[in-house]
Amino acid sequence: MKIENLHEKLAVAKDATLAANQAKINLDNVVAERKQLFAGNDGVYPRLLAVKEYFRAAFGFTSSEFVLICKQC
Amino acid sequence: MLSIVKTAGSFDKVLASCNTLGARYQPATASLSITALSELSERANQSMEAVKQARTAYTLAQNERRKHLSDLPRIATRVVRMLASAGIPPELLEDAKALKDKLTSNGPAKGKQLPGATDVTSVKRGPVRKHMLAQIANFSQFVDLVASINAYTLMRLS
Repeated sequence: MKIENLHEKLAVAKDATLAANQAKINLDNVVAERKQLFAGNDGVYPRLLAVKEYFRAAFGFTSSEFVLICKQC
Repeated sequence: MLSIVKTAGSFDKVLASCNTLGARYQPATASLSITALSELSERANQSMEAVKQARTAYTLAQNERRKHLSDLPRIATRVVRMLASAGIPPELLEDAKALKDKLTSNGPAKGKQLPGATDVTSVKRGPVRKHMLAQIANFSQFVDLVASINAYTLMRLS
């Protein structure tokens, strides 16, 4: 194995490591964005609770609409 | 709090229920309107898809990295054998072997005692797993060492 080949193997391993690190950073970023979208202020989960609250206020606690929403949440 | 997937599923069901109500669904706030909820649902689905794709990309990158890093110990072993056959000075060969051992993570042979060790329990063992950056740093040192050995560079290599 020539020295050039050794250098090439080293460069490839370095590139693969950098690529994996970058992929991990990308993954962490999109996971954080998703978390913000779901759990952040005015995100999916708070909005879900707000809709549920609206159903209770608008149709009543024992209404079929509210019962259905409760089953879905 | 529900899991992300369950929350998304629930949100879609609730949105469908709101749609079914039609004109009876008249929330006071704009953020609870059908349009706003639909837009949020779409963004949520896009976000989940983005995570899925990023996770796949990361898994592939990890596999690629593992494949390349797993080559390094084998290459180092091969080079050390060539150095041994080239008749290089013993101290250089020992240095090369030490770096090779760091890559292979074997440490001293089983049962072999280090100088000064008094019993078998004090045998120093190499770490089972080397950090990937350490693997690359060790291989880099190894390559630099080999490149500095004239006998190796003068060998006829494939």
